Amino acid sequence: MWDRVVNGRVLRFHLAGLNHQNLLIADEETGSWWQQVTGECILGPLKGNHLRRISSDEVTLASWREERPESTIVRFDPRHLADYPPSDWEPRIAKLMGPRELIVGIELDGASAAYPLAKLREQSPRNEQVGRTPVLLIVGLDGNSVRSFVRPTLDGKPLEFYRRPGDESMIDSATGSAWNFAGKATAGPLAGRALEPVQNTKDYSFNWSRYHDN
Amino acid sequence: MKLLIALTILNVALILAPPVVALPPVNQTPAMLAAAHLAQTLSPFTSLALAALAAIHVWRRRTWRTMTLLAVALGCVVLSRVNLLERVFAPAMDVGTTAIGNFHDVRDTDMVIGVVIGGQSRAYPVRYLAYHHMLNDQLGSTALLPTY
Repeated sequence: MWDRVVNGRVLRFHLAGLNHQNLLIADEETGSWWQQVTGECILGPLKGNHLRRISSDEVTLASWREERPESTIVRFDPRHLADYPPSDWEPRIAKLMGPRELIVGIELDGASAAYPLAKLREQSPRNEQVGRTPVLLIVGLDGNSVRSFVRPTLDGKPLEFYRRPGDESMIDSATGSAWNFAGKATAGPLAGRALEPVQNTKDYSFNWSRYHDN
Repeated sequence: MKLLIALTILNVALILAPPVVALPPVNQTPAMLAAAHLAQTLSPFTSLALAALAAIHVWRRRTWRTMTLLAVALGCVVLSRVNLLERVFAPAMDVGTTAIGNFHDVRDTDMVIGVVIGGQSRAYPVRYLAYHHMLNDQLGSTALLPTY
């Protein structure tokens, strides 16, 4: 998710190419080409500029609707109804192209880390560290929605989170407060506190490693 | 005449280079991408020059050959101004949004990419973004570009 404003100017983008499964996009205003995955302008008058990333969440429709009932959502174009991929399009592609490992990737303050989704599903929440930042990863009950947050420090130690059996919520090790999937403490001494979200991206392992050391 | 033919071939190459280089089977090097970008930048202008040159040839001697070359030149003028990739991969157009409570285009278990900006929330079904690849959108005062 990118901000379309560069140097104070709103740009309008079009498809320019596909480069190793990543998009190349061109802005109408200057004809410059940008890499969709990194947001970097690689050719043209705006070469060297970077698009500003906007935080986004990849979750199920049900999750988003429950948390944001006031949200709008983009509708399918009626002219293309027959063209949109079906609900099971990802497993279908896996069958076509062979198994590809899905990871959840995080970039934070110059460091990066990738976590195989399959392993995350088995063991969630996960207390990790990305570079110097303690990070929490949690998978929703649907098995596909993944959220990540900064683990706050209490009394000099980063909080650790454990699963509460049966639901999506967690308990922290220091105070025993309960936290929900949105990263908000719902009960206990820290009730009302919200964890700071960290952007994560689902990607294929082979694609992520093309652009990251970790 | 030889010059006209050579320039016609050059223009067709300039038009074809970007979409060919942009297609997945081609193993792109940075040099190829730079060349494709240059071709895309130049072709709207070179094709006009070619069309003018071809028109002069037709005016001097109207033959099947000169007429054909003019037709190809005019074709180049048009194609250099058309996004060929968007003919193949449909861009998101006339984007319609609705309240999420009224939305039933995808299943509850299908994924969406959600964003909250300045108190406003919007979601983009992944199935929608996977097809259109990207979308020039506006949420409140923020111009944003969801991609997948």
